[in-house]
Amino acid sequence: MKKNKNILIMVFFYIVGSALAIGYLPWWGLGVVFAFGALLFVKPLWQELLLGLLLGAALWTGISFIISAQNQHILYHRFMEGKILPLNPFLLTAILGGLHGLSGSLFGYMLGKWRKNLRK
Amino acid sequence: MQNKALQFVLTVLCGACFVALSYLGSHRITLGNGPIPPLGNLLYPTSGIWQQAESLDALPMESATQAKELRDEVSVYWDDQFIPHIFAQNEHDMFFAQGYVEASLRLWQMEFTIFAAAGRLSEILGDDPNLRDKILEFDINQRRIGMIYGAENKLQAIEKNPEALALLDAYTNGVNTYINSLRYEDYPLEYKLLDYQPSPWTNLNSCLLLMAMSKDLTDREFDLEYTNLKNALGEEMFFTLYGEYYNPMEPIFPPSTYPPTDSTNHSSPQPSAHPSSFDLAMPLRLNSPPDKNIGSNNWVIHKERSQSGMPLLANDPHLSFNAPCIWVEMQISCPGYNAYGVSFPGAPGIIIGCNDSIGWGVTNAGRDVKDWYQLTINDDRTQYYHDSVWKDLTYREEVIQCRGGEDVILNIPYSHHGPVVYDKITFPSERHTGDLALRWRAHDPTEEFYAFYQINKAKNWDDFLGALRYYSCPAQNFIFASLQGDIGLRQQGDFAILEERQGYFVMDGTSARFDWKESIPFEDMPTLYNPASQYASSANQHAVSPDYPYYTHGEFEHYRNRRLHSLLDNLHKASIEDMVSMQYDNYDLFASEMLPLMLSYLDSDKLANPVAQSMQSWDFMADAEKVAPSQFHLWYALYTDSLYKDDKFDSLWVKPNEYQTYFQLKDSIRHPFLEGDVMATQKKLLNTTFDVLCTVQDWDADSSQWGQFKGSTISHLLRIDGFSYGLPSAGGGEHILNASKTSTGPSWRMILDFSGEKIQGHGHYPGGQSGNPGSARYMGFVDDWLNKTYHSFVMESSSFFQEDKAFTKTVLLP
Repeated sequence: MKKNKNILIMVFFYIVGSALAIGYLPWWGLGVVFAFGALLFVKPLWQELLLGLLLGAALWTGISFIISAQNQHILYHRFMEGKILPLNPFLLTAILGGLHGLSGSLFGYMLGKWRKNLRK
Repeated sequence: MQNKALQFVLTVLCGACFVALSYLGSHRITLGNGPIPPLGNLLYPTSGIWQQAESLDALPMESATQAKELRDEVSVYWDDQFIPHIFAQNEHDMFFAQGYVEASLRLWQMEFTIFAAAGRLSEILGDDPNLRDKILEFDINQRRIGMIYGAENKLQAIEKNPEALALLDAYTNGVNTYINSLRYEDYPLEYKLLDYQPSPWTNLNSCLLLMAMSKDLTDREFDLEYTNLKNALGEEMFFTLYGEYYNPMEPIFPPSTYPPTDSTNHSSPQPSAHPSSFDLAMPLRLNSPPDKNIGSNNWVIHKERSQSGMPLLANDPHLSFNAPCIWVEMQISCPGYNAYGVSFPGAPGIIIGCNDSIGWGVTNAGRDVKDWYQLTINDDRTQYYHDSVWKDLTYREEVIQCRGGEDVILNIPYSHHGPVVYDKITFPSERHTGDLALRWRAHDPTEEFYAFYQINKAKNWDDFLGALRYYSCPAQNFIFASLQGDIGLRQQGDFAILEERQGYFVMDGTSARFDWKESIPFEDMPTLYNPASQYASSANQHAVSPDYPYYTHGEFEHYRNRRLHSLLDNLHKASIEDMVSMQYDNYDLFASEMLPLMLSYLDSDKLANPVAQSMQSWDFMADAEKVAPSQFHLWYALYTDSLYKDDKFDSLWVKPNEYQTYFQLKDSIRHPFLEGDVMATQKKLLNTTFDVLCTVQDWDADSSQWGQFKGSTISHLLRIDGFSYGLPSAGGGEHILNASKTSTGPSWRMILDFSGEKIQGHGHYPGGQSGNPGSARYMGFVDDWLNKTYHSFVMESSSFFQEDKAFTKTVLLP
């Protein structure tokens, strides 16, 4: 029961935190939210990394895709045709979002570990 | 303990990685291959480039915007072509709204154009190692020819005219109100790619835009090259190859319209006074060579010759195929002012279009308004010798800020002529040690914005002429028609009264004799009003014949005008369809004269070659799917490359034009490039180059079709391929009425019909209203432009738009 409650709080935190970061903070704000998430909700390292990577990539790409779909992907195709970016824009967006989410989570995890060690 | 330390180090490392990633994603960094945009900012979905993936029904403005500078509410109606119709209660608000709307559509283009005009591109592109040197050279050249100096002079003139200043101030405030409303996510895409911010708009920026247009339209002068050529060839041969007048020339204005010779009192020609001893060797070419493809067509048909019994007016200026387009289409209206047409983003008013009473269009006059003077400057570079006295040079400091590098500071000397562009100490020309000063009409304090303001409000020919009194540079052929049924054409510009051939070559700057003094009086400018021919037209040809009492020279077109005249002469009941057909006329008059002559020199066995047969059977229509135009133009290029190849000159010299080359071949003219028997040499050249033509290209390939071969392309200002647009189905070309060339062509096609109670217009341009590459309207008109489809416009009032709910309305509130 307590475990479920914790998961609910965690999900709530990530939803609210992500929404606030996306709405009010610069692009790196989402990474900060993930860092706090990893700091507050202690999980195994692989879970933290996976969460940061997937959630970061999914959020960045998902929102981009929705915006691009409303545009019938006109801009996306112009970027692809002109090879303006070194990779597919969606893929690059996913990589950046994922990488930043991962690094935020990793930093939060390490910070949590270090804090725990200090208390010992 | 050791564990804790390791933990700490790892935590710090992870933190550093996180911060470093955040930092790198927020900053443009330069690596070996060039700068990388700040990818974090760029790709973040809620503020990066995805925000420019514009929803298909989005408008560039909020549905209601507060602007405290406004005096009353302004309504902007967007029609189905995304054309804004601005309705204000007063002129101030109208120009304010025009600035606001233009910025909302084209902000990045407006500012980038100004950066280029002012020689400031290094500020935004200077950190790219691949571009740095080229961009800096471009900026230095812009500074040296006095682009900012000219703009400042124009602004000073405007500041003396309260009415002109008020309209420019209102426009500038409108642009700035839009800029101030922007957050990072709203910035046009290119700001994000290049990682910089829009800066406040100024009145000087609009003047710089005018300077940029002046440069584009008056750049075709070859005084420096001609001076070299005359020295190398001798005067007689020079004028054989680079003649001033040709037959047939068919000027815009017939001799019957010229003022009587005795009404002028300019001095008679004294050829011996022309400088001939200068050895300029090879002066540096400023930027790229002038674009000889810039030009335009316009014509107007009198009511007696039209099907409807009222005038028809057509205009298509041939400017660069740019993305975003050089024009933006709109209606601006307030009590006492109602104009529709195209405007330059960054300048108030309508440049080409119509109002409730009249319609007008422009073509470039092509006359030379740039002259060069060789100065004698003292050793300490403080004075120059002129008119038997030493006069002070003034120095103007120009600072070029280079992104990621040190500022470049220029101290440019100025004489009374203007900037000493080639300065033997700090900016010498190649292998030349002289100081060359530039006298350019565009530097003068003039009020072209005010001229267009008055044109926009003109009700008849007299008003129109009155407005043109304020127009100086770049000189244009203004065509006119009115709902009263009158038509007219006038060449307007400020031209110095010159001695014969004065300004053809670099002049002696020590003598006051060659200074520009008086201008040709306004009353003596060539003009047609309701001409007996029942039409008037211009296509960048010589405006006047040698009978005109003032000396004129410049660089002119020799084919489009003759084709236009032949079509107009045979048109007696002209309709809109005829106008469309003429604007899309692909007949290549140059090829029709030159090709049979070239073929006549071919050996008889070569005439059976499929390439020769293809050209022989060509009807001279330069349609996109045909191969013969590609064959002819490539053959001509190969032939003239061989004909004019000479070790005495390098790539900086000017080839004689197509018209003169035709006469050389036709009349077997001997010149230094042809050795021995002229006819035999020409025959050898043509046969040799024909052999090359047959092998150099696969003539069965699709890429040999004219449309693909000439490769007309609308190029993004940053030359980004994905934001550019190829036009392989565009026919036409150089010397053809449908002047669609590789990078220039009909930048706005307009036809005005005066048969109704209101003027009915039809138009399109190769581009789209939105400057955002992420918008569906970025290339919104291109298919129409390719397919001869014009959208119609009528001078409607605001009540028309209020009643029809099909129009989307946005409001600017005080």
